[in-house]
Amino acid sequence: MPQLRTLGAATLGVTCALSLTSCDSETLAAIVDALTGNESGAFHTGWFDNDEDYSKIEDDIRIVPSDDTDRGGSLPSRVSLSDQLPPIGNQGDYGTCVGWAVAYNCRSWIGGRERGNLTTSQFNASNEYSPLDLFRRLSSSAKGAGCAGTSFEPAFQTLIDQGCATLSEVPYQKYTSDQQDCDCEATPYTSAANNRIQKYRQIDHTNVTAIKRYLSEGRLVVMGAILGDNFMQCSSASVLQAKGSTNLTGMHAAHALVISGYDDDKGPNGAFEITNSWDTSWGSSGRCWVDYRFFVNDFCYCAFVAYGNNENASTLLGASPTSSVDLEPIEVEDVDFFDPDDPDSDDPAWRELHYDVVNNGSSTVPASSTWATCYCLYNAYDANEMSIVLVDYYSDAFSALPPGAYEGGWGLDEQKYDLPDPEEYLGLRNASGYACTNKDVAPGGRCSAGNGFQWPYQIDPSFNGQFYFVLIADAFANVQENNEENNYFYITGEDGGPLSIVNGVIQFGSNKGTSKGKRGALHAQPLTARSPGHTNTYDSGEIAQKVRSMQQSGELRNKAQQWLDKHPHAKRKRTLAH
Amino acid sequence: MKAIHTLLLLGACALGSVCSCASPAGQSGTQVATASTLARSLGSVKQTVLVVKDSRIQGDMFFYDAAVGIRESDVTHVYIDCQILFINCVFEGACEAYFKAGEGGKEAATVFMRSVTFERCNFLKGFNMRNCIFEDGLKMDGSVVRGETILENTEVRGAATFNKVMFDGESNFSAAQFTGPASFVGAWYQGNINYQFARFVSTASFTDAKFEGHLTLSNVYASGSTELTNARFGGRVECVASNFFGGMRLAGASFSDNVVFEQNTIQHEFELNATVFGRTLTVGSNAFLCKVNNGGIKEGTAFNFVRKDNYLLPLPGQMRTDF
Repeated sequence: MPQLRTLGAATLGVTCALSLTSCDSETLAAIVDALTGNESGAFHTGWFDNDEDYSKIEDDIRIVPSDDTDRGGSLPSRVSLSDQLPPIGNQGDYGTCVGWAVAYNCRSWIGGRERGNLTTSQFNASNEYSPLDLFRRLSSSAKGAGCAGTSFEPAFQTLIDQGCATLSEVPYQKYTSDQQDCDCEATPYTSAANNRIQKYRQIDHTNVTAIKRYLSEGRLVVMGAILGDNFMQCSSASVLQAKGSTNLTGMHAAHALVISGYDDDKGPNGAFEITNSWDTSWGSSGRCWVDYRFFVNDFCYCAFVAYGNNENASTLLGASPTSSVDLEPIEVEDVDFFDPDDPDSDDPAWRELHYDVVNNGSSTVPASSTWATCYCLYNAYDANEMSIVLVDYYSDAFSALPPGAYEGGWGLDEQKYDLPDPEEYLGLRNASGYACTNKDVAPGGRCSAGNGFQWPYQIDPSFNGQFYFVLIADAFANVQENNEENNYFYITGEDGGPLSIVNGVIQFGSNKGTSKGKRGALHAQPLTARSPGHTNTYDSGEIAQKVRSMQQSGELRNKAQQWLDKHPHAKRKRTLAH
Repeated sequence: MKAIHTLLLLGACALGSVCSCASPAGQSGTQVATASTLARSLGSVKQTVLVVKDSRIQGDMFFYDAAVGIRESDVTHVYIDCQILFINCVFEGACEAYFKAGEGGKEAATVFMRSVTFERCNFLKGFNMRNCIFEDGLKMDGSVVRGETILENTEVRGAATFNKVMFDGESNFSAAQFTGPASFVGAWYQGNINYQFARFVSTASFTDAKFEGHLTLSNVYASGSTELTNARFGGRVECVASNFFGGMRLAGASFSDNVVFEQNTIQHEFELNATVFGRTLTVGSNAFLCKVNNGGIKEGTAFNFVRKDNYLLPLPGQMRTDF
C-alpha cells in the first residue's frame, strides 16, 4: 500500500500541476480513490458468524498472571508475527476468508514452526496450505455454494480430522468469473492426513491482555470480525478506531482474519496488527492496525488459537525418563450409589467412585513424597470450570494413626486429631472427600490393600451442562515419574462424549430416573477423553495445567471448601472394597 | 404532572418569545422535565417546535423512543419532525439517539428532520448520536459533555457548530459527514479525539481549539479549508492519508507531542507560520498541490524532524529546502 499510495500521490501531483485550476476536489478524490483501490464492493468476506455455536467449542485454559495489564506488566510493548506468515493472500471473488485465515495463514504458520520457524520469504506453494482444499472437505451444509462462506468450527475441525492439502497440490484459482475454477464441491485432495492439527481453542476475544499474551508467546490468533466501511478503506499507518458507516459493507459483513501482532504505542490506546486476505493493495501491504478499545467493543466477535501435532501435550506433564516409578490409576469405575443418609430414597445425585492406584515402576513411591490422587469434574467445553470431587493424600508428615483407623490411612473425620493444616502441603484444606494415608507404595504395589477403594460422592446441584470426569494419580506432580500420561483416567458418556449433567444429576437417556442400581456405570477410558466425534477435547496436558494452577493459586482449596460446606455428609471415610 | 406543566410552559415560550439565556452551561436548571415525556412529545404530529430552557432533564433521553421506527435495510430509523431547542439544560441521564441491542443486534438511529440545538447544555452521561442524521443542522455551542461523545457516522446537513464545547471524555467523530460548515472554534477536547474518515464538504474550523488527548485526523476528506489556527495539541497527532482540498492552516498552532503527517494530499495553502512542534514531526509521502507557507516554523527543545519523500507542486520560493 505505501508504494501504491506514494505512486498515487506522485501521479496525482503531476496530473493536477498541469491543470490546477480545473482539478476540483471531487475529481481529486475520485483519482485518489481509484489509485488507492477504495472503490466500493471490491472486497469479499465469507464468515458465517450466525452458524457458530461457541458453547460447543473448547475454551483455552486460562492461566493469567496477576501482573497482566493491557499495557505494561510482563508483556513486551510490541510483538509481530507477520514475518512468520506466508505472503499476504488474496481470496479474490470468493467468500473463502475462513479458509484463508485457518488453512493458509494459521496452518501454514504452524507448518512454518514445524519446519524450523520459516520466515515469509521461505514460504512457497509446497508449504502453504490451500483454502480451496479446506473448503472442498467441508460438508455442503457447512458452506455456501461457490465458496460463499463457512464458519470456524467446521474449518478447524476438518483440519483436526482430515488435514488439508498444500497450495501446490490444490492451487487457489482467483480472479476468474468462472465458478468452476474455484469449485468448492470438487473431490478434495486425497492425502492430506499428515497435515492435520492437534486441536484448536476458543480464547477470550474481549480480553486485550489475554490476546497479547498469546501473541507474545508466539501464538498466532485467528479471529472473526464484523466490518464497517472504515475497515474497507483502511490504509497504512492509520489505526482503525471505529466502524464508521456500513454503506459499502452492509450491517453484517462478517470476515475471518488473523491477529499477527500488537503495539502498545500505536494510536491512542495501542493496537493489534491484523492480517487480511485481500491482497497487498488493501491496507498497509495487506495488513492494518486496529485500536484495542475498538477491537473489543465493536470489531472482534470471536478468536481462536490452534496447536500443531508436533506440539506434544505430554511435555506439559513433565515426565522424567530416568525415574524408576510410575503411578497409574486402575480399576476405575463410577457407579450409581444410594443416599447414605436415606438408602431407600433412590436419590440420583449420589454416585460412587471405585479405583485404585498402582506403582508400575521398579522403585517405591514413599509417602514422604506427599502426593495426591484427585478426582475432578470439568466442563467439556470450558475446563476452566472445574471442580475437585475428592483428594486422596499420601504423606508421612503425620503422627501415629488414631485407634481404629483403617489400615493404611484415615479420613477426614480423624483429621482433626493430629493433622497439621494440609494447606502447607497441597494448598488444600478439604475436598469433598479427603483422606490422608501414611503409606509407601512398593514396586508393583497398590495404594489399597489390594481390593481398591470406594468413595461415595455427590455432584454439586449447581452443575449443568456437558462434563467429563478424570481421576489423576499424583495430580500435583509431587512424584517424578517416567510416564506421566498414564496418570489420567477419564470417565465419559457411553458414546465416549461428555456427560450431560442437569442440576448435579448425570443424565442417562432412557435410564434416567430409574430405580437404584439401574442407572449403570459410566464409560471409563485411560489416557485421554478423545474419541471419534470428540477429537478436540481437552488433553491431559491441559487438565494438568488447570489442576496445578488451581492448587498454586489457592482456587482449588477455596472450591473444595465451598463444596464441602454445602455437603457436610460427604465427610466420610473412604472405604476399602469388599 | 410537573413534566406536563413544563412542556406547556416551554411550548408557550416557543410560540411567544425569544428565550434569553445568559447563565453558564447547565447552571440554572430551575425547572424539571422528564426525559421520557419529552421524547414522547417529539413523536406527536402536533409538536413542531420543542423549546426547553433552564431545565434539568431527568432520566435518560432516548430520542429513538420518540416514534415508531421504520425499518430500512438492517437499521430502524426513527424520524423526528420537530425543531428542537434545549437551552441551558442539564441532562442528568444519557442523551442518545442511537440504540444497538448487543453484539450483532438490531440497531435504531434517529433522523432529525428539523434543526436541533443544545446550547449551553450540560450532558452528565455522554452524548451518543451515532448513525443519526441531522437534516437541518446541529448546534451545541457552549455545551459540556461529560463522558463519551459519539457522532460516529453521523451526518449533519446544514451548519454544525460546536463552538466552545467542552468534550470531557473521548470524542468519536469517525466517518461523520458535515455537509455544511463545521465549526469547532474554541472547543476543548479533554479525551482522545477521533475524526478518522470524517468528511467535511464545506469548511472545517478548529481555530483556538484545544486537543488534550490523542488526535486522529487520518483518512479525512475535507473539501473546504481546514482551519487549525492557534489550536493547541497536547497529545499525539496522527494525520495520515487525508485529503485537504481547501488547504490547511496551522498558523500559531502548537504541538506538544509527536506528530505524524504522511500520505496526505493538500491543495491550496498549507500554512505553518509560527507553528510550534514540541517533539517529533514525521512528514512523508504527502502531495502538496499548493503553496507551502512554513517560513516561521518554530521548533521545540525536543524537536526532531523526520523527513521522508514529499511531493511539492508547485514549489514556492519561501519553502524550506528540507521540507
